[in-house]
Amino acid sequence: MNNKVLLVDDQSDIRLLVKMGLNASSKQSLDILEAENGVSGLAMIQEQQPCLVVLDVMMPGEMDGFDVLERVKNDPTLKSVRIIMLSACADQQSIAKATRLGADEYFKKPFSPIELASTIQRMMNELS
Amino acid sequence: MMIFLFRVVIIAIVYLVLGRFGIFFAIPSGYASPIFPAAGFAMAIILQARSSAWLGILLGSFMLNVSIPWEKGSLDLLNAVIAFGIALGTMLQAFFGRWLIIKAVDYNWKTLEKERDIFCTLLYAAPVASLVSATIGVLILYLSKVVSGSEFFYAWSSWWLGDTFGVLIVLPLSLALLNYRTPPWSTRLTTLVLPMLITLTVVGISYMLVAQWERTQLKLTIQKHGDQLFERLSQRFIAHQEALAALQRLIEVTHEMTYSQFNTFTKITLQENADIFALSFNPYIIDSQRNAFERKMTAKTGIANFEIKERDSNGTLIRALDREEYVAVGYIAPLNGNRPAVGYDINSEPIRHEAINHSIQSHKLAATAPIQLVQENQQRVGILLLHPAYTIPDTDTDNVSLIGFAVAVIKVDEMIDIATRSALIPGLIFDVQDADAPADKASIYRSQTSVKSTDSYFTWQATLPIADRVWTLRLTPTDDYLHRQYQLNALLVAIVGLMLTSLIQLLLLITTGRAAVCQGIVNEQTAELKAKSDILEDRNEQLSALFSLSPDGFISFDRSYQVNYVSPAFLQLFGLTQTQVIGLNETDFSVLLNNLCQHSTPFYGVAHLRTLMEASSEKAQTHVIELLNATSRMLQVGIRVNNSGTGTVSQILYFRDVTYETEVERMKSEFLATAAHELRTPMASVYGYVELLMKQSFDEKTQHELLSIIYKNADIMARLINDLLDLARIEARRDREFIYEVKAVSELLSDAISLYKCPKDRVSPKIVDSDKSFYIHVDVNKTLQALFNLLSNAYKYSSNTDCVVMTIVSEYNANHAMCGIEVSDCGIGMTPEQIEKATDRFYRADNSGKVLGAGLGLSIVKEITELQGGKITFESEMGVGTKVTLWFPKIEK
Repeated sequence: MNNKVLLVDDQSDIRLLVKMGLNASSKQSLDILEAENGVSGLAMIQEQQPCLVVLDVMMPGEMDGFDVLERVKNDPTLKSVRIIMLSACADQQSIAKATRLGADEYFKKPFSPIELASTIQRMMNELS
Repeated sequence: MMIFLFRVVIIAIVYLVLGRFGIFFAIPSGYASPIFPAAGFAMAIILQARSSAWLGILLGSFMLNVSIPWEKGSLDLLNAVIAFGIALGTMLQAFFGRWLIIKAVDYNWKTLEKERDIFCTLLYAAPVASLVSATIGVLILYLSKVVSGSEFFYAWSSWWLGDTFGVLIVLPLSLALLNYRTPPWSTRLTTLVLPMLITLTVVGISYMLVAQWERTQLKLTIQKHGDQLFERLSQRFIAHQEALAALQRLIEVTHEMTYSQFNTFTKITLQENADIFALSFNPYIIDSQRNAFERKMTAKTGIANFEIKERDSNGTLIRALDREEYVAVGYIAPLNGNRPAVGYDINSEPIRHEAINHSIQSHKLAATAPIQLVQENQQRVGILLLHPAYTIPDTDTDNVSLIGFAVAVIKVDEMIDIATRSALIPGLIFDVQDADAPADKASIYRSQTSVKSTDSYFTWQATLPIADRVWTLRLTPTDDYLHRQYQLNALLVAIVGLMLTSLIQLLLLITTGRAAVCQGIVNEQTAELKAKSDILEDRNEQLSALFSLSPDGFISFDRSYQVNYVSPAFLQLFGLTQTQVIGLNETDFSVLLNNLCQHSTPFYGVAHLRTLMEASSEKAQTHVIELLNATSRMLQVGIRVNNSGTGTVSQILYFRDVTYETEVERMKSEFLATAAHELRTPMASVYGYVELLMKQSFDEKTQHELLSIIYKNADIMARLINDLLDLARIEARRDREFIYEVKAVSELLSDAISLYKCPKDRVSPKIVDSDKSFYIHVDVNKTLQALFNLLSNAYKYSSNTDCVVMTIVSEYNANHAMCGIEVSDCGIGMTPEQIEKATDRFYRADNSGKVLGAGLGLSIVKEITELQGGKITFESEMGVGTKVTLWFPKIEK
């Protein structure tokens, strides 16, 4: 079991914010990976097999967050990957869709980086 | 005045013709006609109340009544006065009739439609008013002694009857002909006048035929009487002839007999035949034997100085003058009363002489022309029959010589009386004349004298040979006899025929009147119905106009839940034809409709909709369907059920096109979601970093870094909000805030260059072809804002090069001359898909976040351009650059 966490978001500001939140509340060191769109994000998941992915929904490119989520959850080799959705889509439909596709958590933007970091920590602990 | 006189003359002539026509039917001639049509015409013309009518009638009637005596050549002042009196009566009758009719039925006689009007008019006009003319006319004739007291009633009743029938039949016909242009008479020309004329013709012909037959019958009767008389008379004559022949034979055998022998021989004959006045033997004596004869007769008769005698010019008997031959009366029986005749030479008298000559020449019986018998004091007509007697020759070679004549003196009147005895009918004049005698002496017998006999048609005539002469027998009926003998069958036929005709006319009047009344009612109601149906049609047209103009489709169902109406809009929406839909029941209709719907939005069916409606308290139930066809319209289906139980429509289905509303709704929520998302993203950075700064302490450099991230994101939010507000304002106000002016495009571009804040370290845009002098009609500030947005995009998406160029271009097509401002760059370019979405709100070709902006710039440009009547076009190639052109209508300054 590794301690890789992948951040997929087209906004570098957000990726930085999540990283800083994790650094601030870090009890164990995490290997933080980044991707700026869905396609590269999925590639990194398949390649790096992170324990946990923080996934934005609306991203440029061919795949959005939901597509990535669906692919991951339908891939038996990636069954154990925990996915936290982090999206500006705050409507009920999007949340329901994410839940249906198998997302573990759903954070609405704007979000508390500290709360997200503690959730990530908790889930990492559960995994280990 | 001329017209007045013309009318008077026309009316008078018509009256005269009709009057003559009526008289033509008077049988026996001279008697009243069974119909007097002129009376009906007079009534009609007086009713019509032309001022010329009364004078015309007066003149016509006068002319008619003068024409009758004039024809007979008996026109005198008295006749003219009588004619004028009758004419006055005729006119009075017409006025009296008019007064009665108007009193009874007002002016309804003009149409004669209702039973009561018809009855009253005909009753007052015909039998009642006709009393006037008949009474006045016959009274005048009576006073002027043309009609006797005994004839009065007959004359009066036939006059009245003729007028009554005349009015009864001709009044309606005249009214029909006088008013042939106006209803109901116009139709009555065929329904009344024609059948009446036919009927009248039939009646007239029957009447004439019967009358003719009757005349023939009467003539035959008279002829039969005549033949009978002829037969009897000729038989009697034959009897006398035989008696005379017997006497002649006796004379030939013993011509020297005694007077007593002669008496004995003739006695029986004379006794049995009262009409034989005398029988005699008149020897033939030549002058040389005269003396011997006279001596012999003196001895035989015992008359002293017997001599042959004759009458002188005074009628006195004298001794006969000497002549060659004498035929003197020898024997005569009866002798008493005839003594003076003995010795009279009948040859001395011309009439007798003529008969003697005939007899001598023919050796046969001869008769004299009528002679006045002198033997009696009484004057009476007689004839002498002379039969010659000859000597009987001893041998065949001996010549016979004339001895004398056996003579019979016949009293003709008595002979005819005896012969005809009971066969002569009173009223028939039997007239016998000698056809060979001169006219003044020809008359032999006439049964009646001084009686009128006017009609020679019936006279029977025959010729009877009497020895060598010819008698003309004539039997003529007296007028009186004819009137008595007439069976009046023809008159009866006429009266019955006319009564039937009147009855037919009455029925025709009633039926056509009723038809006219019904027609009137029908016309009235038809007009009413038409007015109503016009209103209905108007309403229908309004409704169908409403339905056909309504963008909503309607379907109505009848009471048995079958489609009975579809609106044009419905047919157009679904691409159906009327025949496909009308008459379908609910289920079939639902299936048909469902097949035309997207599977995602099925049409549940009419019954389902109704159930839904009944379940809820809502009056109408709706649901939305999307069409399967290319238009992909969204339709809201609703149903309304007619629960009132009246009317032919049970329910109405309506289809409202809600495509636009649905799309707007969808776009609105999409916009809200996108806007929220776009706001949340920078907000997430602001919120997150602020939280980190609050919860943790950072070194100054990191703090500054974090704060600049916060500032940058806050700026993005502010811009976004400004753009949103701009867009909202432009959209909300449309172009009401626009201040238009005519602006040279080149001037606009130089304004843009001078006012545009070029990003730091970048080269200002270049202008190409600014010398082109085009003018456009725009709000300068708004257009500049649009240009700034374009320039801003051009710089944003071509970060590495500085080739932003503004060019003035133009385009001409059939309708417009357009002027374009082209902004081009050498940036990253766009794919066709991106171009398509370029003006959508929040759309960004580069979503990486490297390029700032919320994706509202081009939306604003598009909005501004299109509100000013312009358009926006894109031309781009990936990696080469993009050209955006704003087009505006070019105007002439």
